[in-house]
Amino acid sequence: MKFNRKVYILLILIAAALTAPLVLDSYSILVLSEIFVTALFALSLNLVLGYGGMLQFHQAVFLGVSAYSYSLFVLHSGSFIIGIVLGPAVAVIFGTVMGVFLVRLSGIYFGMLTIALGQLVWAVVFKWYSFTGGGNGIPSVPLPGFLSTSTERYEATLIIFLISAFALYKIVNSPFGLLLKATGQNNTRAESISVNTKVVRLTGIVLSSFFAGISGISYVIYSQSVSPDILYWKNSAEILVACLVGGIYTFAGPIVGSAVIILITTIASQYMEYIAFVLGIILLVSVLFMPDGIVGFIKKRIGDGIAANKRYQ
Amino acid sequence: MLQIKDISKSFEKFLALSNLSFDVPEGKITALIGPNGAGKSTLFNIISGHLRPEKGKIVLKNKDITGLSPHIISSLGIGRTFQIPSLFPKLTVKENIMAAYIVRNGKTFKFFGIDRKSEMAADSIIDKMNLSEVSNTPVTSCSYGVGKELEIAMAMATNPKLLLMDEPTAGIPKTEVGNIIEKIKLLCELEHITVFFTEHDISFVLSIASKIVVLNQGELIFEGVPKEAMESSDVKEIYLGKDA
Amino acid sequence: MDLSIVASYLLIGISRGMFYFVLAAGLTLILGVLKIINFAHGSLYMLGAFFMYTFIGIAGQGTGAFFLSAVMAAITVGFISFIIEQMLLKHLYGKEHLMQMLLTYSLVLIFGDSVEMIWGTDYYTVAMPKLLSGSYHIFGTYISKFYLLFLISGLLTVVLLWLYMYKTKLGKIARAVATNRSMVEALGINADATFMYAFVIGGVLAGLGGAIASPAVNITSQMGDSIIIKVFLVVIVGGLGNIWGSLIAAIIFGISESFGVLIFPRFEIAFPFAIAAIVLILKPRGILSK
Repeated sequence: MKFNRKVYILLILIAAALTAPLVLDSYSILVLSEIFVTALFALSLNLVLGYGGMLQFHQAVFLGVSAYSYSLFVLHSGSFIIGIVLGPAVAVIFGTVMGVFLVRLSGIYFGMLTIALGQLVWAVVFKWYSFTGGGNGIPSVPLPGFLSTSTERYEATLIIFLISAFALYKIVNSPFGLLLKATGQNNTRAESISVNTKVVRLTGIVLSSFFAGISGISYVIYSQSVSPDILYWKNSAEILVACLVGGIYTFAGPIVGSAVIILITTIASQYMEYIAFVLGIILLVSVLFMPDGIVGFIKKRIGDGIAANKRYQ
Repeated sequence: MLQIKDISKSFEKFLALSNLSFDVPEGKITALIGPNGAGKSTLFNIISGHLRPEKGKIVLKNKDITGLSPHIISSLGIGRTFQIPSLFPKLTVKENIMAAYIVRNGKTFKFFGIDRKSEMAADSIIDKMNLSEVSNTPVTSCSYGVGKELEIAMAMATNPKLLLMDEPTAGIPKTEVGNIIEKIKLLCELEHITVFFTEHDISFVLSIASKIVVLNQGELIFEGVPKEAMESSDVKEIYLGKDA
Repeated sequence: MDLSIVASYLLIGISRGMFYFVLAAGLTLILGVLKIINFAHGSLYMLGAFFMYTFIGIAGQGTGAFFLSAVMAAITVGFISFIIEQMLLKHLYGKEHLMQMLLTYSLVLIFGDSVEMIWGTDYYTVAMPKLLSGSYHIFGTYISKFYLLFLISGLLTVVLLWLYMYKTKLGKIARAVATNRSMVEALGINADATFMYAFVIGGVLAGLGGAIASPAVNITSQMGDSIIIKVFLVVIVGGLGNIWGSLIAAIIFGISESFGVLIFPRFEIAFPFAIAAIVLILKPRGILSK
């Protein structure tokens, strides 16, 4: 019964999202697009952070190299299809190469290496003016003809999000997903039940970089431009905040977190300049009072409610 | 089954094990005893691949396994339980056991769907160990005792030929120790598993082990049957003090 | 290249390195003891510079006023760290380290905007005190006297930290916690006080760093963003939690930077990241590890 109700709610939400451009103005549509791009990016991070227990502090690298690869390729050759494939492919190459070194470390050492490697990529993109456009980035990136209106771009980011989120959900609940969670929670124990933890963690990083790469394509569709800011460590930190605010131990957490943060910052920015302050307070409150995030908090409330009902029956 | 050959290990200046050699016979229960700091845990960590010895070899059925990765040693048939339950805290009891079966069934890289075989195997071991009631409870919400039993269930799920158990009765009420002993004995006989365990409770050791190895300050001071151990003056000295 | 120019660049590099050390020492102390990256370290550095600006406004332009203001700024930032530790961070000990690190990140966001609310969005400068303006004639070239300030602050930090780590009981516990936390806990030593001191000392050093850098930089709400990353790298190369490793790494960074500008101007900003990545890959426990 409960399962069916969940699916119905989900289907209604998807239908509403698909038909949103019919009722909403173009600004709201753009904000929703941003939510889908960010939510997919956050989901890709949470595969390694929440499930894999790895302190990935610089996920933005994979989004960034994918977005840049697409943009540079399309600018120079014009083939959109190859560009779209190239983005995630380059992200996976970066994920694999970095991952090989990362999985040899754990805990805070892992986190520090993600920052060092990520900032290295940022510094190169930032300074390689002749190739990447340096600090200016690429202000106008061409898109295929079927993405010329804002509604089309919106539907594209939505569909990319839905397909990727479904795939990630399946992965999280697969046998591999179980072992990734196990490795993240207790590496020594995982080894003693014959899990090759390094390979499992590396696979997690590669999958995560692939989906971050896809979110990079989605990002270009949304913004139609790229700049080195998308690779800066603060962008990675912000997505970490989205994951935490939503809840890193639940699948929906990063999606809800992204939506909440984007909505609050969008609304707040109409009234004040101090957006970072608002974000900081949200994060502070989450860390102190809702460490399991919004979704984790709600789940626990419902869980406690059911338990309480049982007790009184 | 398992041969410890001339193993030495030190931490900084502290010598934890020195020139240790003995055998763990196949199909029997062997106990490793000694006071705190005797080097029992260090030896276990060397056998399971979590520590590297400075000197010496670990041989499993004529195969040198010294210095291999822990996951390889585990896949060669050495299972392990930990003194303080060391599990996957956010996973349910069933998922903990399933994790072990998934690796064993070669389904590590199955990214979609579920592994029904592992699920059924987990269900069956949960039935056998009377854990059905907590099957879907996350381990963090389970009692210490359940954790201890889950330790054994998970080690069994890896299909070990040799089971290393670090203080299987530690922290368990006296009344339930007998229960655990029965389970270990049964496992050993039914599944032909060799058991090698550490323990501080001498009476427990005498009732279950067919061979005893005694360590003190990293050195082997006795190796033989339990009866002889009780008569050995060296062993008495450690457990009862010099005057005994 | 003229030998005297090499010598002067070396001296400038060492002074810069000493400045990085003032910041890195606090970060690595917190890392070693609390096992967290204090993302707010850069913000505390920024606060140090802003307080410096305000205190100098009160105390005046003299050399004495400069040093008094620097000490006051460092103490004020130390006090803020104390509040952060007691009111916020303390409640997260025993929880996952990720939560503690995200807490410090929330402070980055909050402090960044708070200084804009208080001091506005303009950038400020602090005048160089008389004693430190001008330059010395050493090795046949001129070196700004200002570098002396970095050098002295760095040396002072070295001495005081050494006294703390090796001559006080709390410092000894801090060292023990950094190498083997479970052992310290097993001995029944309450590590909470150690945590508090480490966090506050880290804050004082960050504030001091901001104060002494203030005459050389534009004081803005973003001034901590890039420096924090550089200091992270120093800490990595020195070995997380290893104060003396950080000292060596800071000096290496300072020197390579002062020469790097001469040799590889274009990708100069990429080099520190590359060095840090290589060290983490080859020697994750830092350059001093065996």
